[in-house]
Order: sequence, then C-alpha cells, then structure tokens
Amino acid sequence: MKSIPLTETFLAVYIILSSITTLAISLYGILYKRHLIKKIIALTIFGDAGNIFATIVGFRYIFPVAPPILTTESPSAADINSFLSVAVDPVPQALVLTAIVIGMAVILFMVFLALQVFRIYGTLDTKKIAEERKRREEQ
Amino acid sequence: MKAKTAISLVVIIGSLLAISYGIAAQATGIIPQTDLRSLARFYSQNTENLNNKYLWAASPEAVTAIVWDYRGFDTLFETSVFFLAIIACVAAFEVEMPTRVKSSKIEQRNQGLSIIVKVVTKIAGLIIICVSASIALHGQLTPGGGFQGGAALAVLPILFIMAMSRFVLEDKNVSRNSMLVLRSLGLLGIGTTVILPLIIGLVTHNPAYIMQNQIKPDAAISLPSTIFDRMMGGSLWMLNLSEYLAVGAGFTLTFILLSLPESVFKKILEGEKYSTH
Repeated sequence: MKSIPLTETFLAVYIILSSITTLAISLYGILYKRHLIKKIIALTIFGDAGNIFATIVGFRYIFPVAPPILTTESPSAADINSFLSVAVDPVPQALVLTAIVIGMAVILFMVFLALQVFRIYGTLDTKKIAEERKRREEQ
Repeated sequence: MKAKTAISLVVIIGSLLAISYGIAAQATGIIPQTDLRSLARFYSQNTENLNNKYLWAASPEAVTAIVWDYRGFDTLFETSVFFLAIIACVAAFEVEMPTRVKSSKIEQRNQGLSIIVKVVTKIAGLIIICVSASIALHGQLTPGGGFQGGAALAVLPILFIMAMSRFVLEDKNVSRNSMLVLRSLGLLGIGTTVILPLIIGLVTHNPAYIMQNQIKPDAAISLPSTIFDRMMGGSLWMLNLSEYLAVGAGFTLTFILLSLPESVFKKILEGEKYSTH
C-alpha cells in the first residue's frame, strides 16, 4: 500500500472531514434539541453520516475503478485478476446496505413511541413533558 | 444545567477526536487506498472462482455473496432485528381493529387528490413494483438484493397514501393483517432456506451445515447454482426473494399503521365502527 500525496486526495479528505463534522453536528442535535422528533431527525443524520463514512473507507484511488461485480460468465483466472485490479472493496457496501434498512425500521419504531408519547401528554417537548408529569402527580 | 452542557460538550468533542484519531492512526488503512484489503481480496477472488468450488458463492456479485453467504449469519440476525422492530411497532399500536364500513365507488373517487395525480400514481405504482422486483430478483447478478428491493417497494404505500388515502389501500386488502401474513411468509421463506441443506442432508444421508450454500470439503451438499442456464447463486436467490417480501410488507405495515388519522384512532379506542368520513 503506497501513500498518495495529500494534494491528490483533496476531495476524499474533504468528504471524510465533512462527514465527521456532520457526525458532530448531529450529536449536538441529539443532545441539545428538546423536541423528540428533532432528536430522531438528528439520529437519522448521524446514521447516514456514518454510512457515508463507511462507504468512503471502501473506495479505491485508481483510475479505471469498477463496482465489485464480475461481468463475465464462468470467469478464468486472468479475468478474476483483472477484476481484482479495478474493483472496489465490497465489505463496507455489504455492511451499509443492511444497516440502512435496519436503521429505518428502528427509526420507525422510535416514531411510533413518540406518537404514543404525544397521545398521552399532548406534546413532544421533553421539558413540557416533565412539567406535565409533575402537574399530574400533584393532582 | 452547567453539568449537562459540560457532559455533552465532552461527548461531542471526544467522539470527534476519537474518529479523527482513528483516521490519523490509519486504523482503516490509508484513505483512499489504492490496493484491496486482504479480506476484500479474499471475497472478491472467491465469489465466482470456478477453480476452487469449496470457497465460491456462485454469485458474480461480491456484495450479495458477502451479505447472504460469507457473512450469512450476520444478515440473519439483522433480519431478526428488523423483525423485532416491526413487531414492536405493531405491539405499540395494539388496538382491536373493528370491521370497517367499506367506502362505495363514488366515495373512493372523491377521496384524495385530483384525478390526474391518481392516474399518474397508479402508473408509477406499476413501475415501482416492476423495478423493485427486478432489483430484488437479480440480486445475485447486478447491484441489488432483497433489502434494496424491499426498501424500493416501500415507496409505493407512501405514494398511495399521499395521493389517495390509506382507506383506499385498506379497501384493496392492503391491511394490517394481510401485510402481517405476507411478512411472515417472507420470514418463513428465509427460515426454510436456512435449514434446507440440513433437510436435504437428512434425506440423502450426507453431512450438511445450517445456511450452507455451495459444496464444502466435509459437506457435499450444494444448492443449484444454475437453473436453465441462468445463474441463481444457490440459496442467494431464494433468500433475496424472501427478504424482499419481508422488508416490503414490513414497511408497508408500519406506514399503514402510522397513517391512521387521530380522529379515527380515537373512534377505534371507543369501539365504534369507522368509515372514512
């Protein structure tokens, strides 16, 4: 594995840095926003930024670059070797494609929980929910 | 208030520094790399390697081969996470659904957006079904598979709910129960495909592994890699089809439940029969 000068990999470094920044901003949203739906939105952004980061890990900095799919039926050893010289890393893609769908199902479950909270307290603001709880306990 | 702010600042800055350190220390290798990592090289080399049939997955698509063959158990447990999330949604919404008064043809016509939008939605719906089925069923040949096909199919109920109404879907028998049945069929298909080599092994008196796809040195059972000269990838095709059903029906189920209007939900809680108006 030979290293590439930083001037050539500017775009990749840019994408990595921006995905890390997005992770930080979405962490801010998860921790600081009081509205539950806003928290869930921040969580989806967090997951997507992580997925983009995982995909960029599998990228290869070469000129003819191809998806990890063999295009010949019953390939010979030479076919496989030429495939290996251009194909990108398939492992991050395999991890990301399941993570997206599972993440969406879990997010949907959280939306359902938020809906139930709204039905009970009439609000999704965490501070107002705490106040409402206190008020109900005093009664 | 101050302690909370300090904790969240520490968490944010700490995670930022941790990820940055990981990249700087090159835990993932130099990004972007110019060469394949050894694990990726192994998978890419063996996925359709006819010279070493003990390691191949009978699929020219390395991603699908990893998802359902080399890392099959990972995906099996991810499917169970998906199953639990959807079941939890249904359980959170556990209300007894009374029999709905079916809306008449004229009522159906008056629901939703204008006739232009509805016709376009129907055409687009047909295209979505075809494209998502193609994505799912060609998963062993081209980019795609059960997860992606199912997610593409899940666009359809949202589109229909937006353009028409969720009650039109329910009139067309896309209800909670039918979607539960379809999703269970998909999961049953996955379960059957997982133990299929074991059943074949019992019948033919051969050793076999759970979730085995192609022949292994100590288990001489392999599911058909080609059918009528078409590459099927053994168990990959069946698993993709089942996952397509499970994901598509599961998401449709949650969207149907989520789009129930609040007024109708209250009526259901009070045990009234409900219609669309």
